[in-house]
Amino acid sequence: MTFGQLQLLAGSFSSLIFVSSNFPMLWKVMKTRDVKSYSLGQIILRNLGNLVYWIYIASLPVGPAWYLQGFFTCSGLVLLVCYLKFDAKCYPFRFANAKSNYLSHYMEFLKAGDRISKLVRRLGARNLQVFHAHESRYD
Amino acid sequence: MDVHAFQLFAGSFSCGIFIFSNLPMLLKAFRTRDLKSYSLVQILLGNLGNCLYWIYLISLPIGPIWLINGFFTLSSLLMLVGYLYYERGWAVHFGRIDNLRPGGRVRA
Repeated sequence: MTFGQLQLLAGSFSSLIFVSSNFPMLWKVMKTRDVKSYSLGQIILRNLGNLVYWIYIASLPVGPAWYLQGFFTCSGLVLLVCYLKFDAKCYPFRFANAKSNYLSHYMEFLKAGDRISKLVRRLGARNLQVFHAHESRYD
Repeated sequence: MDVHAFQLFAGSFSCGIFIFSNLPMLLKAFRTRDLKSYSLVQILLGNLGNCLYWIYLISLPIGPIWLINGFFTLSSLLMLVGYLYYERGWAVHFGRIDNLRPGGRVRA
Protein backbone atom coordinates (compact mmCIF):
# COMPACT_ATOMS: atom_id res chain seq x y z
CA MET A 1 0.00 0.00 0.00
CA THR A 2 1.42 3.38 -1.02
CA PHE A 3 1.32 6.43 1.24
CA GLY A 4 -1.25 8.07 -1.04
CA GLN A 5 -3.59 5.10 -0.64
CA LEU A 6 -3.06 5.15 3.13
CA GLN A 7 -3.99 8.84 3.18
CA LEU A 8 -7.18 8.16 1.22
CA LEU A 9 -8.03 5.26 3.55
CA ALA A 10 -7.47 7.43 6.65
CA GLY A 11 -9.58 10.20 5.12
CA SER A 12 -12.41 7.79 4.28
CA PHE A 13 -12.31 6.18 7.72
CA SER A 14 -12.35 9.50 9.54
CA SER A 15 -15.18 10.70 7.29
CA LEU A 16 -17.10 7.59 8.30
CA ILE A 17 -16.50 8.44 11.98
CA PHE A 18 -17.76 12.01 11.48
CA VAL A 19 -20.83 10.76 9.59
CA SER A 20 -21.64 8.14 12.25
CA SER A 21 -21.27 10.72 15.04
CA ASN A 22 -23.74 13.02 13.25
CA PHE A 23 -26.40 10.38 12.65
CA PRO A 24 -27.68 10.13 16.29
CA MET A 25 -28.39 13.89 16.26
CA LEU A 26 -30.45 13.67 13.07
CA TRP A 27 -32.20 10.49 14.24
CA LYS A 28 -33.09 12.06 17.60
CA VAL A 29 -34.55 15.17 15.94
CA MET A 30 -36.68 13.09 13.59
CA LYS A 31 -37.82 10.70 16.32
CA THR A 32 -38.60 13.16 19.12
CA ARG A 33 -39.54 16.14 16.86
CA ASP A 34 -37.94 18.29 19.54
CA VAL A 35 -35.94 21.13 17.98
CA LYS A 36 -35.97 23.44 21.00
CA SER A 37 -32.23 23.09 21.52
CA TYR A 38 -31.48 24.46 18.02
CA SER A 39 -31.71 28.02 16.77
CA LEU A 40 -32.94 28.91 13.29
CA GLY A 41 -30.17 31.48 12.88
CA GLN A 42 -27.49 28.88 13.61
CA ILE A 43 -29.01 26.36 11.20
CA ILE A 44 -29.32 28.92 8.38
CA LEU A 45 -25.74 30.07 9.03
CA ARG A 46 -24.55 26.48 8.89
CA ASN A 47 -26.32 25.89 5.56
CA LEU A 48 -24.91 29.11 4.15
CA GLY A 49 -21.43 28.06 5.29
CA ASN A 50 -21.85 24.66 3.63
CA LEU A 51 -22.95 26.18 0.32
CA VAL A 52 -20.13 28.74 0.23
CA TYR A 53 -17.61 26.06 1.28
CA TRP A 54 -18.52 24.06 -1.85
CA ILE A 55 -16.92 26.80 -3.98
CA TYR A 56 -13.62 26.08 -2.24
CA ILE A 57 -14.08 22.28 -2.06
CA ALA A 58 -14.61 22.21 -5.85
CA SER A 59 -10.97 23.32 -6.23
CA LEU A 60 -9.72 20.23 -4.33
CA PRO A 61 -9.30 16.80 -5.92
CA VAL A 62 -12.35 14.52 -5.55
CA GLY A 63 -11.94 12.48 -2.36
CA PRO A 64 -13.12 12.07 1.22
CA ALA A 65 -13.37 15.86 1.65
CA TRP A 66 -16.04 15.94 -1.07
CA TYR A 67 -18.02 13.06 0.45
CA LEU A 68 -17.82 14.51 3.95
CA GLN A 69 -18.91 17.93 2.72
CA GLY A 70 -21.74 16.28 0.78
CA PHE A 71 -22.95 14.58 3.94
CA PHE A 72 -22.71 17.78 6.02
CA THR A 73 -24.64 19.69 3.37
CA CYS A 74 -27.40 17.04 3.35
CA SER A 75 -27.56 16.85 7.15
CA GLY A 76 -27.71 20.66 7.40
CA LEU A 77 -30.60 20.75 4.92
CA VAL A 78 -32.44 17.93 6.74
CA LEU A 79 -32.03 19.80 10.03
CA LEU A 80 -33.40 22.99 8.44
CA VAL A 81 -36.45 21.15 7.06
CA CYS A 82 -37.05 19.45 10.44
CA TYR A 83 -36.78 22.77 12.26
CA LEU A 84 -39.27 24.47 9.93
CA LYS A 85 -41.63 21.51 10.19
CA PHE A 86 -41.52 20.80 13.91
CA ASP A 87 -40.91 24.18 15.52
CA ALA A 88 -44.05 25.90 16.84
CA LYS A 89 -42.86 29.36 15.78
CA CYS A 90 -42.73 28.52 12.08
CA TYR A 91 -46.48 28.94 11.37
CA PRO A 92 -46.66 28.53 7.57
CA PHE A 93 -44.64 25.31 7.63
CA ARG A 94 -46.43 24.02 10.72
CA PHE A 95 -49.75 24.60 8.93
CA ALA A 96 -48.57 22.38 6.07
CA ASN A 97 -47.75 19.74 8.63
CA ALA A 98 -51.02 20.25 10.51
CA LYS A 99 -53.04 18.52 7.79
CA SER A 100 -51.30 15.25 8.52
CA ASN A 101 -51.89 15.86 12.24
CA TYR A 102 -55.61 16.42 11.63
CA LEU A 103 -55.70 13.22 9.62
CA SER A 104 -54.02 11.26 12.40
CA HIS A 105 -56.43 12.80 14.96
CA TYR A 106 -59.37 11.83 12.73
CA MET A 107 -58.06 8.26 12.48
CA GLU A 108 -57.73 8.13 16.27
CA PHE A 109 -61.30 9.46 16.58
CA LEU A 110 -62.58 6.73 14.24
CA LYS A 111 -60.73 4.06 16.21
CA ALA A 112 -62.16 5.40 19.49
CA GLY A 113 -65.67 5.40 17.97
CA ASP A 114 -65.21 1.82 16.85
CA ARG A 115 -64.09 0.82 20.35
CA ILE A 116 -67.09 2.60 21.94
CA SER A 117 -69.58 0.96 19.58
CA LYS A 118 -68.10 -2.47 20.35
CA LEU A 119 -68.40 -1.74 24.07
CA VAL A 120 -72.03 -0.60 23.69
CA ARG A 121 -72.89 -3.71 21.71
CA ARG A 122 -71.26 -5.92 24.32
CA LEU A 123 -73.07 -4.12 27.16
CA GLY A 124 -76.36 -4.31 25.23
CA ALA A 125 -75.95 -8.03 24.73
CA ARG A 126 -75.22 -8.49 28.43
CA ASN A 127 -78.29 -6.40 29.41
CA LEU A 128 -80.42 -8.42 27.03
CA GLN A 129 -79.16 -11.64 28.68
CA VAL A 130 -79.98 -10.17 32.13
CA PHE A 131 -83.43 -9.10 30.86
CA HIS A 132 -84.13 -12.59 29.51
CA ALA A 133 -82.95 -14.10 32.79
CA HIS A 134 -85.35 -11.81 34.71
CA GLU A 135 -88.17 -12.65 32.34
CA SER A 136 -87.63 -16.38 32.64
CA ARG A 137 -87.57 -16.01 36.46
CA TYR A 138 -91.03 -14.31 36.52
CA ASP A 139 -92.54 -16.56 33.89
CA MET B 1 -9.88 38.44 -8.79
CA ASP B 2 -9.12 35.10 -10.48
CA VAL B 3 -11.11 31.89 -9.83
CA HIS B 4 -8.53 30.38 -7.48
CA ALA B 5 -8.42 33.49 -5.32
CA PHE B 6 -12.22 33.55 -5.24
CA GLN B 7 -12.30 29.89 -4.16
CA LEU B 8 -9.81 30.58 -1.38
CA PHE B 9 -11.85 33.58 -0.28
CA ALA B 10 -15.08 31.48 -0.23
CA GLY B 11 -13.31 28.75 1.77
CA SER B 12 -11.97 31.24 4.29
CA PHE B 13 -15.37 32.94 4.61
CA SER B 14 -17.17 29.64 5.24
CA CYS B 15 -14.45 28.62 7.72
CA GLY B 16 -15.20 31.84 9.57
CA ILE B 17 -18.89 30.91 9.64
CA PHE B 18 -18.16 27.39 10.93
CA ILE B 19 -15.83 28.69 13.64
CA PHE B 20 -18.33 31.39 14.62
CA SER B 21 -21.17 28.82 14.86
CA ASN B 22 -19.04 26.43 16.97
CA LEU B 23 -17.71 28.98 19.44
CA PRO B 24 -20.98 29.32 21.46
CA MET B 25 -20.88 25.57 22.21
CA LEU B 26 -17.34 25.84 23.58
CA LEU B 27 -18.05 29.02 25.52
CA LYS B 28 -21.24 27.56 27.03
CA ALA B 29 -19.47 24.34 28.03
CA PHE B 30 -16.68 26.21 29.84
CA ARG B 31 -18.92 28.89 31.31
CA THR B 32 -21.54 26.56 32.78
CA ARG B 33 -19.11 23.65 33.43
CA ASP B 34 -22.03 21.42 32.49
CA LEU B 35 -20.99 18.78 29.96
CA LYS B 36 -23.57 16.16 30.94
CA SER B 37 -25.21 16.32 27.52
CA TYR B 38 -21.99 15.04 25.89
CA SER B 39 -20.77 11.47 25.88
CA LEU B 40 -17.13 10.54 26.40
CA VAL B 41 -17.26 7.99 23.56
CA GLN B 42 -18.54 10.63 21.13
CA ILE B 43 -15.82 13.09 22.14
CA LEU B 44 -13.13 10.39 21.87
CA LEU B 45 -14.45 9.35 18.46
CA GLY B 46 -14.40 12.97 17.32
CA ASN B 47 -10.76 13.28 18.39
CA LEU B 48 -9.81 10.03 16.67
CA GLY B 49 -11.59 11.18 13.50
CA ASN B 50 -9.74 14.50 13.54
CA CYS B 51 -6.35 12.82 14.01
CA LEU B 52 -6.99 10.38 11.15
CA TYR B 53 -8.32 13.17 8.95
CA TRP B 54 -4.98 14.98 9.32
CA ILE B 55 -3.25 12.05 7.57
CA TYR B 56 -5.49 12.64 4.56
CA LEU B 57 -5.36 16.40 4.88
CA ILE B 58 -1.59 16.69 4.45
CA SER B 59 -2.05 15.39 0.89
CA LEU B 60 -4.11 18.52 0.09
CA PRO B 61 -2.63 21.97 -0.53
CA ILE B 62 -2.51 24.27 2.49
CA GLY B 63 -5.71 26.31 2.64
CA PRO B 64 -8.93 26.92 4.54
CA ILE B 65 -9.51 23.17 4.99
CA TRP B 66 -6.35 23.05 7.12
CA LEU B 67 -7.59 25.99 9.15
CA ILE B 68 -11.02 24.51 9.77
CA ASN B 69 -9.65 21.09 10.69
CA GLY B 70 -7.14 22.75 12.98
CA PHE B 71 -9.98 24.55 14.73
CA PHE B 72 -12.08 21.36 15.00
CA THR B 73 -9.08 19.42 16.36
CA LEU B 74 -8.43 22.09 18.96
CA SER B 75 -12.10 22.42 19.93
CA SER B 76 -12.62 18.65 20.32
CA LEU B 77 -9.41 18.44 22.39
CA LEU B 78 -10.72 21.23 24.61
CA MET B 79 -14.06 19.42 24.93
CA LEU B 80 -12.23 16.24 25.95
CA VAL B 81 -10.20 18.09 28.57
CA GLY B 82 -13.33 19.92 29.76
CA TYR B 83 -15.29 16.68 30.02
CA LEU B 84 -12.55 14.90 31.97
CA TYR B 85 -12.01 17.97 34.15
CA TYR B 86 -15.61 18.76 35.07
CA GLU B 87 -17.53 15.50 34.58
CA ARG B 88 -14.99 12.86 35.57
CA GLY B 89 -13.77 14.62 38.68
CA TRP B 90 -10.37 15.80 37.46
CA ALA B 91 -11.18 19.25 38.85
CA VAL B 92 -11.60 17.74 42.31
CA HIS B 93 -8.57 15.48 41.81
CA PHE B 94 -6.32 18.42 40.95
CA GLY B 95 -7.70 20.42 43.87
CA ARG B 96 -9.33 23.22 41.87
CA ILE B 97 -12.86 22.67 43.20
CA ASP B 98 -13.93 21.51 46.68
CA ASN B 99 -17.15 19.92 45.49
CA LEU B 100 -18.55 19.41 41.98
CA ARG B 101 -22.15 19.84 43.20
CA PRO B 102 -23.84 23.26 42.77
CA GLY B 103 -22.42 25.63 45.32
CA GLY B 104 -19.02 23.93 45.32
CA ARG B 105 -16.35 26.48 46.07
CA VAL B 106 -13.70 27.18 43.44
CA ARG B 107 -10.27 27.52 45.01
CA ALA B 108 -8.16 30.49 44.03
